[in-house]
Amino acid sequence: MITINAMGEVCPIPVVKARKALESLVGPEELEVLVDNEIAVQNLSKMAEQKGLPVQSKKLADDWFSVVISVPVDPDDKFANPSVLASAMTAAKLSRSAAAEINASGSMGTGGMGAGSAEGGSKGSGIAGAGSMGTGSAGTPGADASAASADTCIPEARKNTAVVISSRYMGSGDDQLGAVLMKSFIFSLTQLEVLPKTVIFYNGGVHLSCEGSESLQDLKSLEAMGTEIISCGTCLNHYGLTEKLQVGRVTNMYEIAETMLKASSIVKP
Amino acid sequence: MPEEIKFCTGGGCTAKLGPGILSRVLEKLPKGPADPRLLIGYDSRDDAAVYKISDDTAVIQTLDFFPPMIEDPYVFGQVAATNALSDIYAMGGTVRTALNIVCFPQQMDLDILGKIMQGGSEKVIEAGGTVCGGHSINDTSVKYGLSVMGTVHPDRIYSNIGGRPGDVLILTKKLGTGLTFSAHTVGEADEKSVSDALSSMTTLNRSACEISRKYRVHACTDVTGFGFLGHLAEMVHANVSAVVFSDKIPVISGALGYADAFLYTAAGQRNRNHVQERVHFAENVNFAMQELLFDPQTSGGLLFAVHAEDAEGMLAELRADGLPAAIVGELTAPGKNDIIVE
Repeated sequence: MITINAMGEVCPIPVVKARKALESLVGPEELEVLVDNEIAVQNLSKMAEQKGLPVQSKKLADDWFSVVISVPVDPDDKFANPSVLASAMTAAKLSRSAAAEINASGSMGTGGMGAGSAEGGSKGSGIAGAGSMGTGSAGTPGADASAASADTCIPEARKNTAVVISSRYMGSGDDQLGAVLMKSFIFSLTQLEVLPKTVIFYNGGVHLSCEGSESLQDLKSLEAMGTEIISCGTCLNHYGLTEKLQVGRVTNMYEIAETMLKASSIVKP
Repeated sequence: MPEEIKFCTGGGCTAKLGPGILSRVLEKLPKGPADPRLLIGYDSRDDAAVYKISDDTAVIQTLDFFPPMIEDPYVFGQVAATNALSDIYAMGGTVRTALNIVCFPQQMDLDILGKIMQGGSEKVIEAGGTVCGGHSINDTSVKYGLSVMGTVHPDRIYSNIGGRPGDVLILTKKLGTGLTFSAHTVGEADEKSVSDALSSMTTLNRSACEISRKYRVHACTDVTGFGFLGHLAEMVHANVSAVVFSDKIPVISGALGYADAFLYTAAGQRNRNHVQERVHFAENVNFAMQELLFDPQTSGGLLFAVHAEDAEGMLAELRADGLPAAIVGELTAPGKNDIIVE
């Protein structure tokens, strides 16, 4: 893996650096680009999608993001063929309109994007290139600014969706099925055109943002794309998970209440 | 004269505060009682206010300033002034007076400041206004702009939401200044595109505004930082949608190529995030064209919604004046998507 440090660089520099590095790669190879803001993550993902390359991103810390772009294994690889890839991407796009069709293992999402099949079902976490264009994170308080732009303020995104997860199971009936459904639901969130602004975990839901959760990669992907991930502190304490939180940050009931009241819509799987 | 002004580097171009940060502050500010004479500016977060002082006169008050995006201080002064003056024209007004806003490092060559302000003053004079002084601050980096006062008849203020189904959309300048200067910063822009962009950014919207006065203009906005689609989105609402003819958009020659080379800006992606859910792109609208339509413009043109019967006449007059104006779409009855790009 080749790593480019583009921390502190303003667009288009991170993309230009990545583009130059990709031109010199013959594959199979992975290129990691480190950047300090979500818009740069989105702009890098946008380039990868246009080039038909699988891309994954995650938030490493505040103001620290990793974007990994994969160059196909060998030139005869079917995903290196643009037409095959294009149709695969179309399929992935279509599937996003019906989230339920993305099967429980998440393999359709990854396969569709041409991501390494070894990743396969268990970690369907690639931020699909196509999906990455559709992030709804305009409300992100990105502190960087473009000298090319004269206006002083971009209004908040119109949609302010909060996803509320209060259990580690989706629906009631069979908890084993419920766990599979919930994992699939969270994966599906990463594939949507417009991402939720916030995902709130409370009560049993906090297991999903902690060590041992199979959804951690997907949640980190969401976070890297600008979705805020918050978990109830009282609940973490109750389940003895306070030290095990792996993604997002701890919150309190005041913020949970405020976020839910301010949301234009609340999604509760 | 290359590198006369140190181009903003690294993350230093914090020209604008993020919207999240800003709105958290703005929403907590106290508000006095509403003044009925304040026609625009009480509720909105505009960078302009319109105040009625008599039955036939309203005052437009506006300001705009930013750090350099080009090396030549004289041209930068012209661009910053042209951009600041544009707010008056977008409201259908006439420029009257302007005050300089200057941030400048004391130890830097004062000739540079002289050239910036010369460029700015020339544009105010060209606009028919007077520069009456200003305010300057010793700062670590250069910033320049104007506070402008203009007038307009209170009944003839251009609104940005007055468009009606059937209106024709006319854009008066080429798109692609953001992409061109993004490419320019990494040495990938060609000379023609840069000079195209500069001449566009230093062209006042004055004549476009004056010509439009003779026609039935229902809505008007200037295309700046939110990009073409961001500003068009401000014109559409529950009662009217828009269709954009992407093949009719006037474009700075190299801009689409720069989008294909991934030289888009952070602000462009923010614009995409902000409005994309209201926009439907037809299959034939490729990636580069999408990026162009989201591209933030510095000192962009005016976008008019004009009565369909008046469109051809107005277009002919704008073009005769030397503007690269084009009919770029139309307003329609409200549809499933606020904006369709064909």
